[in-house]
Amino acid sequence: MARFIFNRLISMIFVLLATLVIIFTLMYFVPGDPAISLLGENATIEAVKDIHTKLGLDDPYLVRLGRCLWDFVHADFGISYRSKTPVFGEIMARYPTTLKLTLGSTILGILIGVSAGIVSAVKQYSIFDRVFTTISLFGASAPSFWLAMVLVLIFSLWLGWLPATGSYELKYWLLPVFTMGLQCSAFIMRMTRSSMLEVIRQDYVRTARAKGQTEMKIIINHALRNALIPILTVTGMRLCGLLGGSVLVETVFALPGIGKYILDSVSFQDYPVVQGGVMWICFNCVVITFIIDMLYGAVDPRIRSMYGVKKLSRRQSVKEV
Amino acid sequence: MKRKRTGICWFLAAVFIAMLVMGYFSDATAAAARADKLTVILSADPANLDPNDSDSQTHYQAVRNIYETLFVYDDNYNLTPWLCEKYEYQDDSTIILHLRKGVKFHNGDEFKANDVYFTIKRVIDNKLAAMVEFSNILIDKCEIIDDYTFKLVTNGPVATQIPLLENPAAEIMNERAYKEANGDFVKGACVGTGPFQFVSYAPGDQLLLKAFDGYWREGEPHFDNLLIRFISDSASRAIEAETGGADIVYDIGAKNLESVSAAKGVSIIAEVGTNTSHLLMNTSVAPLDNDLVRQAVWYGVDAKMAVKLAYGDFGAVATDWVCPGIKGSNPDLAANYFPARDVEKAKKCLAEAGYANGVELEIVVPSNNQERCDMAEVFQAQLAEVGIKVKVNIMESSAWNAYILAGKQQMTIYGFSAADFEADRALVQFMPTSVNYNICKFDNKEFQEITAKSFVTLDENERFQLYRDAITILMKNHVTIPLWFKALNAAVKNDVTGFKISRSYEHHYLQYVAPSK
Repeated sequence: MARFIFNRLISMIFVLLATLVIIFTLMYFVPGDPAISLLGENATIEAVKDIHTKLGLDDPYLVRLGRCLWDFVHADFGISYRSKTPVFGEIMARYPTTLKLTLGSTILGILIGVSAGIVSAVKQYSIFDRVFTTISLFGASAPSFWLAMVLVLIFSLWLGWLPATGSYELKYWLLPVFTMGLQCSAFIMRMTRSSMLEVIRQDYVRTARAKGQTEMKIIINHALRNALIPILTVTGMRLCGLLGGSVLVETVFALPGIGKYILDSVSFQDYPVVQGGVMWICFNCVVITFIIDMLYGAVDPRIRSMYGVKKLSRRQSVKEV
Repeated sequence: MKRKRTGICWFLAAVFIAMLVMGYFSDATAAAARADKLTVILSADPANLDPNDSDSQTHYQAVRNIYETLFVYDDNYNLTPWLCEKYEYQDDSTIILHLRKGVKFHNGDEFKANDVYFTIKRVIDNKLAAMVEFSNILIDKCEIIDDYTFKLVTNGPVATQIPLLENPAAEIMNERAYKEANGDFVKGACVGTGPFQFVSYAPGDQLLLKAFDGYWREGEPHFDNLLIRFISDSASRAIEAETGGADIVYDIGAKNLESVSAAKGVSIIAEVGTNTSHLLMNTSVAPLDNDLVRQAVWYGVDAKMAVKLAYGDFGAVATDWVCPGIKGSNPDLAANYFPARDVEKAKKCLAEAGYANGVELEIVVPSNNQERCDMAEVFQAQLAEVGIKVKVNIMESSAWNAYILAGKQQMTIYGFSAADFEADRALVQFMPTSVNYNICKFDNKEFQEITAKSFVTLDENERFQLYRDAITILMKNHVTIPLWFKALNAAVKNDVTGFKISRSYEHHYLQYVAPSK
């Protein structure tokens, strides 16, 4: 187990470094000049040159990449060209918003998706199954910005029940969390349904029924637990997707999150912010993937025992030597 | 079963506690800002609170409430002393500024000449965005004569140096506050003489200010608190205006104007700004290096129709090279030099240029400006009748910007601002010293000499005539076709009064806004 964790940590570092090189290279080749964005249309050529020198924008690719890697290794995300403040601080100021939106949506997605998926699988081809499947199809295919605008139109403009933008109290979060949660639940529901359908036909489920256990106990303890692995995988992937992909919802609801911050910075050619923001999201995704991997072991005794067997076999082999 | 229910209860309790901890239920800043406040929505975050380090209108709109400039424009757009009470020219390169006495900064310090000196020196030493305003100032030769008198020395006569000091990027900051806070604008450096003082700033979300009790203009401001929120999405801003989510919402998009105007309790206040959009032709690339081809484009397009289709009633069709009221405007220009669509004449020009069988041209427009994309498509259709096959190249805004600044395009649509109410701000962009020079690359010695002379001519009448002459040369050479005067607008709740559009840099003064009686 310890070796597994160690290997994963090493691979995490490589993933982060590779991501940094890719994002740096992409930004390097993006057309545009941050100096002109900073100085505006009245800038003189001389003033632009001064800014280039100040920010080191005229240095060769490898020099700038080396500087970027060196700063990153020292946990320095750099200074934003626009705000002139450390990028890490700017990201941290926006991180709670993204985290609230992402976790709120994921929790809602799990609650709706798992419940609906179980009902759909247990009552396959029933009216419930058809309704939930149709809703999930809608949720998975409706673009988030469109759904957001429709919800704002109905609940803010027509009914006046909920605020259209902002993030101050619980009521401000309902629409954005529901928008993203509905999409998240659609994927989780479909995965739960297919996993459950596979599991509830297994022999051990039939045996549990034959032993006279209640249907609820069979579904929760025997079927769902064994169907959890693919559900966990999808949930982890959605969580990662939401962290970086909530930009449209953040834009519509005026939520000061990381996604929108990165997008604005791309159009402003604020390279340190784009690199730092992407790296922070990448770090989060790597950590989430790692936690999901750990949860596999917690959920499924077979995976847990696999680590244990390996460990045992090594000890045994040492003794044999 | 009981154990399972307990488990579910624990799970739900954990979710609830997590929500409490993560702050879904309250926000101290928002709660504190509920009483007697003016809420204003801007279209973007100012990004920083440094008064001298940004060139964006939204930065000015937020920060101008904290800091002030030496001069402002009055209601008739005449330059009026503000923190500077009066000024006189000692010689062509030396201006003596007499500063207003009794003006306090938010930290209690009195506004003095050392603050003016410090502000200018910091910009020049650190090459901040306000370099555009201060680039002609020789800081080593400037002098603090006494606490209220400052000698400003420039590198020769600079015709618009005083108007440049009205630019919000030239706002005066407090030297002591900046040094004590080590330049951290969130932790103490954000100290100006403005009507509101800094309380808190949540990047990307909101800026909270409170009325400055020691403000030098008695009776202003009229609200205890000013909450400035940032919403970049135009549709979301419109919905906030319609639902009464804010007292004032800036920059209502052309497509949302109708619905916001129809909302109860809200009025749209609009005025033409200082930005004119043009169809620009790159005179250095073939076949547009041939004046006859440019003429063919001139006579081939119907600018009025294109503007009408793209903007509807938003803004106005350009009737001059610069917006109304800008020094250098020429009421006779349109009659004498603006193109009237004449397809036959356009075809004749094309044939004379050697392209009787037609020619292919490219027009590039940024994807984030739908109206410009629409106009480009109208021009494409109009010029097809002449025999000019136009390829509309819609590019991502950064890529578009880099493309046109490198002079790779043949035609584009671009807006020039004359925010100092003089045409120099627009004309300078056709000069080889400007980063925008490559857009048209109009290498005309006469134009360059006249324009350069206008920059150093202190006599106003002579200078304004030079502007008109330079503009006429541009028109005679068919370099630009003026299209549209940009409109500035805001949705204002009927509960408040006194809001006025500030045309120059769109930094509308909120100190005049008061609750309706």
